[in-house]
Amino acid sequence: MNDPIPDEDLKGLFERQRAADHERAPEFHAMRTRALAAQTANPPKMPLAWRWALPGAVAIGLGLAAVLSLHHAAKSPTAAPDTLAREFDEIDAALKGSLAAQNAAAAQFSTEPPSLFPAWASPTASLLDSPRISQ
Amino acid sequence: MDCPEIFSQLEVLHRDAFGWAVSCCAGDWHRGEDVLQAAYGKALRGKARFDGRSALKTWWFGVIRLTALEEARGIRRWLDFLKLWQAEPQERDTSAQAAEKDAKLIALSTALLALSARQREVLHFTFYQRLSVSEAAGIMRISVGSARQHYERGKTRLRETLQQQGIIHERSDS
Repeated sequence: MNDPIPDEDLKGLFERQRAADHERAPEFHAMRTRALAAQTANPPKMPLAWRWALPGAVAIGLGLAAVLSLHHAAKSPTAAPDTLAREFDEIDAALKGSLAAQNAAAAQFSTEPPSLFPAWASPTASLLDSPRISQ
Repeated sequence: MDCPEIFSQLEVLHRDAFGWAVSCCAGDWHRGEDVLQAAYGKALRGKARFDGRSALKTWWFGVIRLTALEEARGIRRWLDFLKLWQAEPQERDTSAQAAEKDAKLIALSTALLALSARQREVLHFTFYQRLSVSEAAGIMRISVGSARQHYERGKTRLRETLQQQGIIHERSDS
């Protein structure tokens, strides 16, 4: 494909513009020195991925820690372990006392007076006795 | 290619690169200088690396173009902020205005601003940088056919505008 026919009028105008720009162009070495100075003043930043990943990981860690601590707090009673042990002992002692009282009462009422009649027995109870052979 | 070697080659391209940076900034010399400075900073920091897949000029002009776009986005955000506060942006100091009020250059600069960005770019590469349309297409990352279309339309429109203003005369062969 051939290049388009050059336009001398436009070419002349652009040449003029080019000359004006070149005259105005700042010195290369000055610009390079400024760029170097800027680089020294502002050291390269962390890569973009790390700039997001690091705070993200910290945030996730903090969130997990918060959730775990909340979960643990919900599971465990709020009272101190010493107080709980003391309460448990007191309840245990009270239960033991209550049982002993019940047993004593039962023993007192179980001593019945002797009956005038023989104890009741089934009419067929003798059939259950093992046979005896008289000699 | 290491950094000092690249910079020795960039020095050769420096003036043309400045012209391209100014063109990317719609003829604003100050902004063009800032853009070129930022592009040098990118090259020094290794943010823009030449991998040898294209010509150095193609790569470097691409870096400048991208840097200018980034700066323009920042400026647009700043202007939006200014609009929010009912403030008016200052008048641009274009290269043509600063060039001792050269009427022809002012007319060229104004006529170029009326073109689309693609048309302006391809005309800059072909007329100002003396590149071929296919080389311009390489820098602009478009097909040669597309670049040619932008070139033809842009040139016709630019000619019409400049003829209306009496800057150039109608061509005898057209």
